[in-house]
Amino acid sequence: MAATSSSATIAIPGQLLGPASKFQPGPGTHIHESNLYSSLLGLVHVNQPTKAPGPVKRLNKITPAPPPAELPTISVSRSAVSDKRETLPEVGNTVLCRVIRITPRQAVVAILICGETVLDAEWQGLIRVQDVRATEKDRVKIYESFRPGDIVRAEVVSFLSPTLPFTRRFYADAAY
Amino acid sequence: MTDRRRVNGPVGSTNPPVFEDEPEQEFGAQKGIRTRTPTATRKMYLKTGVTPSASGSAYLEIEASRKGAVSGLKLSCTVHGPRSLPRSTPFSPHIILSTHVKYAPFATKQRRGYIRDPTERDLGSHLETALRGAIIADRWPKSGVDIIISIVEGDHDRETSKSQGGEAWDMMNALSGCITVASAALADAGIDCVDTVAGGVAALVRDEGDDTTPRIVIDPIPSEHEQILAACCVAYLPDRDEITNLWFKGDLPASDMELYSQLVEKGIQASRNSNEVIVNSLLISTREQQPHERHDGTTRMHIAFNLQR
Repeated sequence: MAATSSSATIAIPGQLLGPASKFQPGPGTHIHESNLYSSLLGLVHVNQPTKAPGPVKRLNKITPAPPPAELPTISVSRSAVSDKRETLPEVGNTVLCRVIRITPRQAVVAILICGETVLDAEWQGLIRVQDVRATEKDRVKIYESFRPGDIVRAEVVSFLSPTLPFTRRFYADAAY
Repeated sequence: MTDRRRVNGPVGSTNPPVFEDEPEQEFGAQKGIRTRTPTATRKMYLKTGVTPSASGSAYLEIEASRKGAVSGLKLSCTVHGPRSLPRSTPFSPHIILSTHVKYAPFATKQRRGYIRDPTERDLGSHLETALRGAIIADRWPKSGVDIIISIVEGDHDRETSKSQGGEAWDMMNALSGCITVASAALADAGIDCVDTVAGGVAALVRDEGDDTTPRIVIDPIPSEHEQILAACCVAYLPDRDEITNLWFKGDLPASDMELYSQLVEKGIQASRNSNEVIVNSLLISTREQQPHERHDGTTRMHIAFNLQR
């Protein structure tokens, strides 16, 4: 393709990045027929793996075999090229959200900020009654914990479930 | 006392404009003749990032074949999303594509309505099939993306008679443009794609004057040929060597069995040409947006030098 002849740091969708045996796929890439291809328009980054700790002095216990993940991770990111990249909340992310409405079983929230990025679109989330706090879960009452309009810091605990669109675990106390 | 409640017309009298009829020319001169080689496509202009409010956008212009009578194709595509689905939609583990193709009311000789007609719906569904094969849909669960194309200027010849059935052939050219422009806009929006899909058209035509065997041309303009026997529009992924959408129309002479695959082959060739345009346009726009030339100091010097002059 013509793209390979120009600046090597810009990748376009479908551009060959390297064999899957030499790199690990990062964000913005995909594997096809044991080769890594770019799936975004952006700049290529190769992250070298963190140095494995030096050889152990003396093997005195049985350890699991070191993971084969010693390959550099290759990724394509749009962040340097465009600031309009929409991010999807992922499990484990800390998000800021606003309470839209409350029911006895759950609070429906709109996610405003995911990690460090302000989202363009409003993604909807749920805080179930059993996820509000870690202790005394059976005494939690949604209407004593939240009011519509509260800004809540929460952690994404589930994403891909047809019945529960998102679930948030209440993290900090509701800020006003 | 003047009437202030209503919007009144001007006080003085006005004359409606009267346009002169276009000068009648002899038919032979009006009828364009293909000057390109059978394997050459028309020139294209493609630019991404034209609509600031959209997540991704692109603009495509295909040159007019002749001055005056034929207008080129002008397409503007905006991509909105990925955004969360409305609450009423059921759960979806992958991105939901919705494509809208709309002719501007002034785009063609026949004035179009504001409501989408069956032709536009047809174009939309063809486009959706073509793009669905290129998008990695499961990267964006529970989200939707809207792809809206407005055809600002249709590729219609004013002089083509309707009996020739030019409309249908023009639709193929429009679809190929739609696929190309949508692919560039998707890349601009940062939606994961397997490859840059591009559209191409090839047709089996019979030319005026010669009664010889029909020939295959790519990127056909209906008005330049006596008759179009068959045409196909291909959406093709060049790196994968895959076709995501194939639209075939017309009758092939039964004598030649190879003709069908030859026609598709030429369509692929046309789509490779437009793919080159996409690739170059994406690279140029990315290079422009890049904040610093970290890797290549000479480029910055060149720019500074140009500014001084």
